[in-house]
Amino acid sequence: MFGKYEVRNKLLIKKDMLEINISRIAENVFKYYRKYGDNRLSKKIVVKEVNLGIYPLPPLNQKYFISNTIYLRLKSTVTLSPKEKATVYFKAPIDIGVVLYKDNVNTIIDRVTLTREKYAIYGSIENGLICRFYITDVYHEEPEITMGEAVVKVEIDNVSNYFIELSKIVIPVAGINIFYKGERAHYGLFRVNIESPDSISIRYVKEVEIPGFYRTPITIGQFKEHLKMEWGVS
Amino acid sequence: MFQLQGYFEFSTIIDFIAAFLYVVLGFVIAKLTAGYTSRILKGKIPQHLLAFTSKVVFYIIFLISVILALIVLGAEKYIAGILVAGGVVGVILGFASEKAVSNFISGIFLLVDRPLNIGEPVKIKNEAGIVTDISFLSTKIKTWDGRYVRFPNSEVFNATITNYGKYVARRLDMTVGVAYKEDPYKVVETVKKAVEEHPYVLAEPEPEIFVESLGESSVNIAIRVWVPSPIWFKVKKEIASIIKSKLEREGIEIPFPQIVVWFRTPLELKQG
Repeated sequence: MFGKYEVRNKLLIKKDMLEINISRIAENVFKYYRKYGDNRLSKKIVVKEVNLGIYPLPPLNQKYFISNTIYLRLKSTVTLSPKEKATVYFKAPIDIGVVLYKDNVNTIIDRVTLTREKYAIYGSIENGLICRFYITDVYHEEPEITMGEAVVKVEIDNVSNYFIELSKIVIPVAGINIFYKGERAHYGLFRVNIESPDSISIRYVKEVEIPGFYRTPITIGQFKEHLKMEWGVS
Repeated sequence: MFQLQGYFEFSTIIDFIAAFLYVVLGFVIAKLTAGYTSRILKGKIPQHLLAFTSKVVFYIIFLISVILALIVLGAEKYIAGILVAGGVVGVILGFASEKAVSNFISGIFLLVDRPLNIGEPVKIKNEAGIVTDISFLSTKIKTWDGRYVRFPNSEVFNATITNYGKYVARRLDMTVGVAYKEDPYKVVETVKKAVEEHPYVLAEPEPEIFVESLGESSVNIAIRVWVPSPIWFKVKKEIASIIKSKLEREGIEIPFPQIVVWFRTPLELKQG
């Protein structure tokens, strides 16, 4: 489903409850119609030929407030012994973005959230981060995902001399080009470095590619490589 | 050649032109530098400090150009005198405009103390709205009903200020009354599910729903939820309807005020 489409007259994409329908209604006018449950959107596009991209996008709210991170609360905690490393996988939400192209210019004409939209504060009321909130299991290999979800690969390195219990993780997703292949989406690799229970940093490894996947050409927000999880992971 | 006597006795017309150019050039450079400073600091420092820094940069550069112009005019030996005279005039003006000075100093304290910033929703002396400007002398707000209100900074500094946007989230409190016949545990669970359905009711801190009091006509359920500050009012407008619909769907009664009237002697019905 993800990828680029050239529409001369008509395009219909149906997947689960999501339906995207584009049809020519006049010489230079197309009708865009999208339905997801009760959530519907209809608009007209004035263009000779529709060049469209359907991509996974970070589910960031920029309409009412700024949220550049996803807060993953783990259904079961992970305890790391001192000087131990682990590679784990999580599921995280994505938005489905519909992008219109002309020459080198593009614009997002539609964004649909297929998972339950919730937010939470990581940190204090005074100066914490408002994050997109999602509850996930912890997986030891790449999990099966549903539409609206993406895989997150995390390498955790506990370099501290303490046992660390991980019950949440906050990933910075602004500016990230999510990977896609068919209907699968993948955020890529994050590295968590635990120096002490109060000093935890998380970094998105931009250089790592996911074999067989393509990177979306669209990003949302300003890329921030590092995030200090100064309120801990427990 | 034409020469001025007095202060500028050594100045020629060329010196005047040079001095004029210094002032004009100084003005242009000051404007450009202030604009450049504003651009490079945008997003890195708060907006009110940005405007303040930009103005300070402008005046410093412009003052330097004026001093250079005076030196070109041969008035360097009088600069100290001019500054002293300026100081004396400043003191006189200061006494004459005590309130303006008080506002100015309060403005500086407001910039340092930062109880409010441009764009934040605030309440100052019973006027609530969005801060649109904080200058040296006054603070302006656009009230919720679209009025422009200007406060002298000295009043703002001494007033109790409520800033609704200082923290990332605000608590939204509500109370809903249900009939005495209803199971309070079921009601609490139903209300909790209803508020959790709203995307902008934060999952953490968790919503708190509990029986607050046993009222005269209803069991009162307290609802405390946290919401991102910028959309507090949007959620407030929506949440009551969501809760009411959910309670109705579950068949939970929201009672009207009730009074049980008891008569000491039984009433007699008379047929007329």
